[in-house]
Amino acid sequence: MLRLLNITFSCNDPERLAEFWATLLDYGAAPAGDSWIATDPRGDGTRLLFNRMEKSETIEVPIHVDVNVPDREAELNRILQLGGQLVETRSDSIGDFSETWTVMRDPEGNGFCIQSPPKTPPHRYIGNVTFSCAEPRQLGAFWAEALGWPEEETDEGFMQQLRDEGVAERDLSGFYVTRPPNAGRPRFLFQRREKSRPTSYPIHLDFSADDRKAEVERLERAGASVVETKEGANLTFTILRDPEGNPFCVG
Amino acid sequence: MLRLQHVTFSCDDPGRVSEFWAALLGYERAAAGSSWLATDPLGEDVSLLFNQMAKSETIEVPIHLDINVPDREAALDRVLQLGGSLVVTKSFEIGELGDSTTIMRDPEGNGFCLEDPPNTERAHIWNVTFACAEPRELGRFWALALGWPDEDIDESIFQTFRAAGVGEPDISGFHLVKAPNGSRPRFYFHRREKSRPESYPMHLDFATDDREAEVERLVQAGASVVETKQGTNLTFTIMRDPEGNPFCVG
Repeated sequence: MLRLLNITFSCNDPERLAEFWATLLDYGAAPAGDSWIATDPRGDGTRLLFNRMEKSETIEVPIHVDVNVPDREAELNRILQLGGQLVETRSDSIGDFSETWTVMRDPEGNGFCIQSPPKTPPHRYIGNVTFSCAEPRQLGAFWAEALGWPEEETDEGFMQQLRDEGVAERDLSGFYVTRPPNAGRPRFLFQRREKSRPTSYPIHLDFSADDRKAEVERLERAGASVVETKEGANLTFTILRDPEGNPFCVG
Repeated sequence: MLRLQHVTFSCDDPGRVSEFWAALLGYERAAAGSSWLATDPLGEDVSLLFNQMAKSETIEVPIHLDINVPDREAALDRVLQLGGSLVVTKSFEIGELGDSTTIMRDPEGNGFCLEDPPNTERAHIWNVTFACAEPRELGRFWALALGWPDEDIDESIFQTFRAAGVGEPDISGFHLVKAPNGSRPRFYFHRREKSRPESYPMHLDFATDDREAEVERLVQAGASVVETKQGTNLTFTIMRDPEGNPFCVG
């Protein structure tokens, strides 16, 4: 099985971006060679890695993070002070169901969302890694299998509620969530969105596995494809693409 | 100059889709061979043409319509009764600015938006909206094509955005082009990643006084020619705008 090791940002200025994200998430940041690493002192948040690497311009970034915060409004102002930017605050509603979040950008333009869902713990954390994709259920099933996470049952009551409001089947299959069995975070969220097709992804995911070779074979059978395997001095890792072309690394 | 003649829908069932749109907009419709034409009896708003034609599946349709209605909630129910479906009601807020839009689909899945600004007396097509990479540049092309003024958006809106913390790439994220006499529809451009369908579900047809001269002028402005088709009554040229959206000049 894959274990999420890093969410990796390709950046022009790793130090600046690591500082931004570490302050935002109450992480600590430290250099690691040319790169910077930001880690959660509590030990349960996902590690962030900032590499000096090329990235393509995007309109709709294929992968972004959703940050859960205790107080969205207060956080918006704090993030502006840290050097982030506002895109917009959005509310989506269908009948009685409604959700509000604020879309922002980090100092290098990477879009991310902040939200305060009910029962948010009093600290800030990455709630979701969100994929823009064509087929949320299929891509979600791939990632659930890759991570050894349970395949989620569709909440039929909620689906019926949406149907009653006039939502058609095509849009009912427009999102999917998969999460670790212990209710850990982040969840992986999949939503149907037309995404950009960057040559170099601004954000990608790095995973570790106990047996890289066996794992790569298993993932290929599940629908991933291998780009290449890189041999480093300390680390050998394989770059793969998921069924919708998103690159990820397995080391 | 180009004059917008129809917004044309590629449909599986032109009769069914034209019935939906005619009922929604209070248009009259008439069959024309295997196609249907829906026109505004008041003569104020753009006609819609429904052709039986292949269309590709899309996630983010490159061109859609924004419809203004007197009462968005009532219109939502009406669309459902007519056989449409709901996607979501979406509100945005940037500092002091805010707005709500309900996104819906017609019976063949074409997305469109409903808004209810004050003083809207009847349902009408308010914007033809383009999802594009460079709203300002694409808007400038269309202003030139239509002979409409090439105006910048009111600077005070940008000031409001900047004051709320919006950065430069997002400030240039939309553009608006409108006829000098205020006639509808307006052309609205926003930065969105769009699908690249081989066959567009919706495209625009234009009339012009001198097709050949007009095609040449548009090519100079950044459009490209796909092909010219000779019919018995009509010769028209299929072109693409600088971001690849097909349109016809007849």
